[in-house]
Amino acid sequence: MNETTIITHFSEPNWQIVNKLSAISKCLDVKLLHCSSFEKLKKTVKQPFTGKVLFFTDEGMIDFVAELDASSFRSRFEAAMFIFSPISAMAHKISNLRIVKYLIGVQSVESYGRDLAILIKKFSQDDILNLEKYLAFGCKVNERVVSSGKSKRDALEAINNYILRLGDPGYLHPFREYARVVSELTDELLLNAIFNANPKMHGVDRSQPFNLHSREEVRVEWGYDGEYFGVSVRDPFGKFSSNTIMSYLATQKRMGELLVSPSAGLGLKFIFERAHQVIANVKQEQVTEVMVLVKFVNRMRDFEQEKKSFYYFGDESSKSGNKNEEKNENKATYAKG
Amino acid sequence: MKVSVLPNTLMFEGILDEETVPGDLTAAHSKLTSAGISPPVTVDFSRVEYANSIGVVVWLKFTIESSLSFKYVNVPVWLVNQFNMIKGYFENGSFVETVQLPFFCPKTQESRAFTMQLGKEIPILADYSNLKLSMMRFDGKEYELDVNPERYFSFISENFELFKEKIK
Repeated sequence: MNETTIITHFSEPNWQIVNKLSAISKCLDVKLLHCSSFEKLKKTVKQPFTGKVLFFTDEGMIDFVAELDASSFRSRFEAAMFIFSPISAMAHKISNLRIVKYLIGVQSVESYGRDLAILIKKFSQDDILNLEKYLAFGCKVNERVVSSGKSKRDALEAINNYILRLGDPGYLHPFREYARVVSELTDELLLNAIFNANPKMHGVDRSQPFNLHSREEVRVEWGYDGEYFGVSVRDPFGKFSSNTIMSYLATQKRMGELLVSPSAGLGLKFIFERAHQVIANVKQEQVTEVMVLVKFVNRMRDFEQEKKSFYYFGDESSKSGNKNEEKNENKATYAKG
Repeated sequence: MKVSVLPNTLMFEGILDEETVPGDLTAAHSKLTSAGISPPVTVDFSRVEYANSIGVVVWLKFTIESSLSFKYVNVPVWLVNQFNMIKGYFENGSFVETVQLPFFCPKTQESRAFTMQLGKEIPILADYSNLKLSMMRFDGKEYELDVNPERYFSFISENFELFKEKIK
């Protein structure tokens, strides 16, 4: 059986994170190699590994990550990078780095445990789908199937009403604002799944009624565990790539460019602007599941300041062909989004 | 999204999404023109719940193609976020007169948005990092500002000269 190895090295000593990762790795029976020096790191990455390797680092190590990405043994590696900069700023730097799959907004170490454990478990076990993994035990997950404009509206209304009823009716609670934010996010996820992922829907007039075949249907799931609200949208096409996502986020469009396509790639920007965590789970040519998590806090100022993270789970290399060809193909698929 | 045409004013209601067709907006423009138009045209999105990316592009295309300047009033929080994310809302000399602003009452943990006028309650500044707004009182409760002003008003600071000229 192939084993998973975690390698850690940071631009500055970061024992809090190393200790946290070490503890989680032991709990999950995953091997961890901490490289306390850069020399040790360079030797370690050249070792022959029998399985996949997840390299935890930070944005201060981006030059080394670029070297690793260009090396002949890059196919064994994926990188998880702790970031201080906004994701949109990081997108400029990493859009061409295939091994960077996880961008984790830096916050207090105490708040990382759950996210890191989920990341390592999904990485090591290849069991990537389902919203339940991100919500606390016992949380009820609701579901709708979207196959037409009407069912899209119904799903959005159901989610909106679900969030509105979370608040006490006699109290000026923030859930009204949260209902709006989640409606915006879900709407964008649905647009991607309906109009961009499905080749049949490319170029159609999006203002016209549509009906999807049962094999093209989109599934929406949502739930709230008292801390995080999660929503997941799943399509049966499996065409999303992390490079595509980062390329779009890295692009600052001019007004003229904005006006020549139906949504001009704005959807992804909206999603990353509002969600606290964006998680893409992709099984090439089979399924794409994009999930967003938002933390419901009392104050909107705290909501705005919450750190943002992005996780991409999927094997992009399973598609044959060279890197540029694949990138161009994906760009063509999503250019209308 | 429903469009209502009032004297020199467009009011919207619903969701600005893919079902908002350019024809709805151009028909409203024709109606405005035939009744006599005096730019800037007042636009009120306060009854629009939110916009998706397709709806935003439809609106921005309309603002460019109509060549009109618009005065945004009662701007809801979602639209302020759009102003701060997308450059292009203030083409043709369009500007904002009044915005909704989130406040929070620490004592009761309640949230409420107050509408405020630029140039009066909200000064026109090139830098909002030191903005201090006084507490708002409503129904016997005291509310404090619940956004980062530097971020929330970046659409003004990034278009400082335009807003300084328009808001006297």
